[in-house]
Amino acid sequence: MKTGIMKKAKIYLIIALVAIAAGMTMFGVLGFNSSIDYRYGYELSIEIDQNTGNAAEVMKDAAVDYFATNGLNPYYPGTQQLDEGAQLIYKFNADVSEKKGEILTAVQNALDDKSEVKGIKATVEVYETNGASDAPFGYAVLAVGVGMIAVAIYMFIMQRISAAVATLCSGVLASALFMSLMAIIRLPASPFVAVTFAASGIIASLLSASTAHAYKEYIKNNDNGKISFADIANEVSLGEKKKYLFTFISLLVAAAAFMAFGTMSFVIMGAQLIFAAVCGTLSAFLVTPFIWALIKGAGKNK
Amino acid sequence: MRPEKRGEHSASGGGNMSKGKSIILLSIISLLTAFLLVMTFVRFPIGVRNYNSVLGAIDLDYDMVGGTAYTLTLSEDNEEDVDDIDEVVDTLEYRLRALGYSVFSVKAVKPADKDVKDYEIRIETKTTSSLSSDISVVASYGEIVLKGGENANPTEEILTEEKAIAGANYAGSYLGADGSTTYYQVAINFTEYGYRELMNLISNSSSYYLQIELGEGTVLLSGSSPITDTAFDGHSLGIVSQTEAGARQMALQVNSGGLAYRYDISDPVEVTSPLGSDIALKSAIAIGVLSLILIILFIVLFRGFGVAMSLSLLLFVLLETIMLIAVPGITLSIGGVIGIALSAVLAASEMFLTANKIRTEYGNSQKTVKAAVKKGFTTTLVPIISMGVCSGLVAVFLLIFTAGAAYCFAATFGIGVIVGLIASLLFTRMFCSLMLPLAGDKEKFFKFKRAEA
Repeated sequence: MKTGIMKKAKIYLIIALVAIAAGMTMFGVLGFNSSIDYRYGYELSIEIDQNTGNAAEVMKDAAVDYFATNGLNPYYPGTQQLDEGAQLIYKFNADVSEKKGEILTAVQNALDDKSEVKGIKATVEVYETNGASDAPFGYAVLAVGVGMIAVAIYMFIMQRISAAVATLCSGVLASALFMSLMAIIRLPASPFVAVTFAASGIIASLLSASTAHAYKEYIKNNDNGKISFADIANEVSLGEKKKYLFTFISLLVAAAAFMAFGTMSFVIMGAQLIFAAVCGTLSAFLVTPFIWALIKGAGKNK
Repeated sequence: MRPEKRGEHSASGGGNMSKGKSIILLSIISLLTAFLLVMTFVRFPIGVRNYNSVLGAIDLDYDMVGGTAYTLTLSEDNEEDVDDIDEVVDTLEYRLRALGYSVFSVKAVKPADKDVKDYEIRIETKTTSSLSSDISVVASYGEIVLKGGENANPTEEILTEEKAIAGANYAGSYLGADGSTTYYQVAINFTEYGYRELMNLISNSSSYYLQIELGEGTVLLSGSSPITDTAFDGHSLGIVSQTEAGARQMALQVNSGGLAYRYDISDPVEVTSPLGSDIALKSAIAIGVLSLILIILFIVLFRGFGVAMSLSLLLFVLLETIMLIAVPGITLSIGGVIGIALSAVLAASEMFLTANKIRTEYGNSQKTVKAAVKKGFTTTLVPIISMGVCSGLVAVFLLIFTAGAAYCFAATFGIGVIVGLIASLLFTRMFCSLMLPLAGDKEKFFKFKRAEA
């Protein structure tokens, strides 16, 4: 009896369930790594009272040089155009108030060194922040959960109970594993964690659904009554490997295309997409055959 | 093995498709595709105006292009200390969502190195024509007060014993009697107590005037005209506004009242995207790079069939972009960009599934290329539709339950699922049918190989 996939599926399930247990515990205690776009961080504001010539560029270059020299790593620089001046806002997870004087000196010196912007006055402030900027994650969990149930009902109508349960399990496992990995690895959740969470469940569901159809097709086209459901699952899944590999590589390409720009927000988004791709494709590839064969009666012949 | 003959029946099983016909049809489709490409990506002047391309017409949200920021500072004549700034932030966020803003930033800030007790609140969101008045509504102070009397603009407070108003909702628009003016309706729903007492007051007066105010000085319903019991539909009083924004603002204010604290609103300030610079451009380039790499993969893996898949994927990208302006109410945020990328991957996976199936059919049987293509499309029809249905179901519930980036993701992904199904089931088959008659050695053209016995 060929059991390659089934054995790997058992190992994957054990690792995944341990990761989910650990991850959910961490999530319960610490939550996600809420970057400062959610709540509780610090903002460094550098403001000039006139934006003539290239004053804003000089201010920005001086600030970036200072951060690089002093090992400071800000998130998402944003700019504001004031009526006459300009303002740069850098976001930090720690209080940088003690660096305020040095940053002001660096920026003011840079402005004074350039004749075309000499005389422009800079000010620096550090603010403690408290705020949120996106809809609660809980609604995304609710939506994906209800969606998975709807998918299972659809698969039950199309294929009966084994395919329905297999699709449901792979989708739920993928989503739970994604949440757990985010909680364990502490990747910043950022404003789009709800999106990538949903993506992990969607990827697992759609791949699982097409694989379930492949099982049905195999049974229809093969008259060998001595082959067990476990062997069917194993053989078909190995045949589906190329599809999973292609989907996984495509998702990695999508993630890399965003990350290549180097913008912090895109790097985080790309990393989350990679998590979603790994959780979605692995869960569908390994969990679908395992659950399908288990419900059909793995050792029984078809 | 029977050699392929030129001019055989097309893969769709229809009549003969001659080489000439294929060339003509492919040329027409190529011209149409080129036209769509130009209209989607190229900007050019037309007379004194500019054509901004389909891409330029997409409505972008705050996280893609930035917007406007307002700072709320606690007013000097604010009477109560702010106990829970989180609650204030949550209330402001709720109100912004109620007014239709999906992507925004609401942050409470205070100097970290000074002994300052109170937070300022910074609101950043997309610039709209009604933003200034929306922010005034969102940050308005005070409680709902009902005033009534037998004279216009009454000053006497009424219905103070219990809660008189249950809520309010924006009730849609209608055309006025003149047939050209649109009015926007708000339904104010009274409680049993409020309705009963108000009816008593109206019936006991020859004419009765009702005025609804928020805090001090903000009049929501002017008491300049008398009201009668005919103005009520059940327990609801209908009020008309000249603008949709005004109607929605009024409904929100009646529903949620004012903040418990008085804030002064700063002048607006222009802000860039919180995610970085040129986010919209970078997103477009990323999607373009993803599409290009998928096209290269298709051609390398499947050669001639890969060309058909590539053309379908190109049409998918163009159609998806056009849908972003054709479907009303879509404002593209970063969640929407992820939705487009994921739907492109889904469409590519569906095409890959078909291509692989065709290759397997040809390899494991004695079918001709055309027969294998037909069988491949037939066999993968149900799995591909299932993939689309599963994806679409989750997208529907995301649309129902979520807001912000997740909502936009669901919208663009849902559109992408439908367009992807059309591309993988219809376009790919069409291109394949058109290209088959042009291929001399079909086996070599499609990179098919019989399995060794």
